[in-house]
Amino acid sequence: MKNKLDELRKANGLTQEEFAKELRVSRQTISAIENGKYNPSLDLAFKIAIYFSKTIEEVFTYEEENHEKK
Amino acid sequence: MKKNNLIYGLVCILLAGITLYAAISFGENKMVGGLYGLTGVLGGNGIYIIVRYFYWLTNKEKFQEKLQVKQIEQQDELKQKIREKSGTCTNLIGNLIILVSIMVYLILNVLDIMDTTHIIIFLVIYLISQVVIEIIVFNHLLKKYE
Repeated sequence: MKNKLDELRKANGLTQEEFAKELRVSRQTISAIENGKYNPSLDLAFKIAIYFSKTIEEVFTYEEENHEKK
Repeated sequence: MKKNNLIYGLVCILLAGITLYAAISFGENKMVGGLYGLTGVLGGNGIYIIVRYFYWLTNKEKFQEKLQVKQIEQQDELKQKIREKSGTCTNLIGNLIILVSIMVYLILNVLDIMDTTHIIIFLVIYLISQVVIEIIVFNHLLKKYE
């Protein structure tokens, strides 16, 4: 799953630490999502999208090929 | 910090006092070493809890911050997932160690090097209990989702 988290976070002038604090998750979680190493739960994905006033589809892009490879 | 912590610390100190008194009263009994050890553990733990209680009492803001970070760390979904994986991995390795131990003790027993019957029985029961407990806990947790 691809995402625009890094882009959106930087556009909002937030560090990983600050953004993690806002969402009440660890900095490592944000880092892992941004690097595409971890796919967040639906709950967290919604929280992220809502935080940036976007829809989930605008933040996350589902890619079947990559998903199957994993 | 909750007052319960102070009470818990005081209870530890009290128990340490009791075990120390018992250790002194027993004189030269085999239990004395263990009782002194227990006194050390309980006393040390009690003092640590009390000191920590008063430290955090004077640094309330810092404590709230620490508590918040701790809560986030505990509820963090990535860390929960990793903890789950590490638990499964540890369990598997632990079971393998027990299995190898059973075989080693069995060989020692068969070759009359050591009488390990009790150890073998204990390890077999422990290994079986691990598997059974795992199944019971798994089914219990699964039921919560039905």
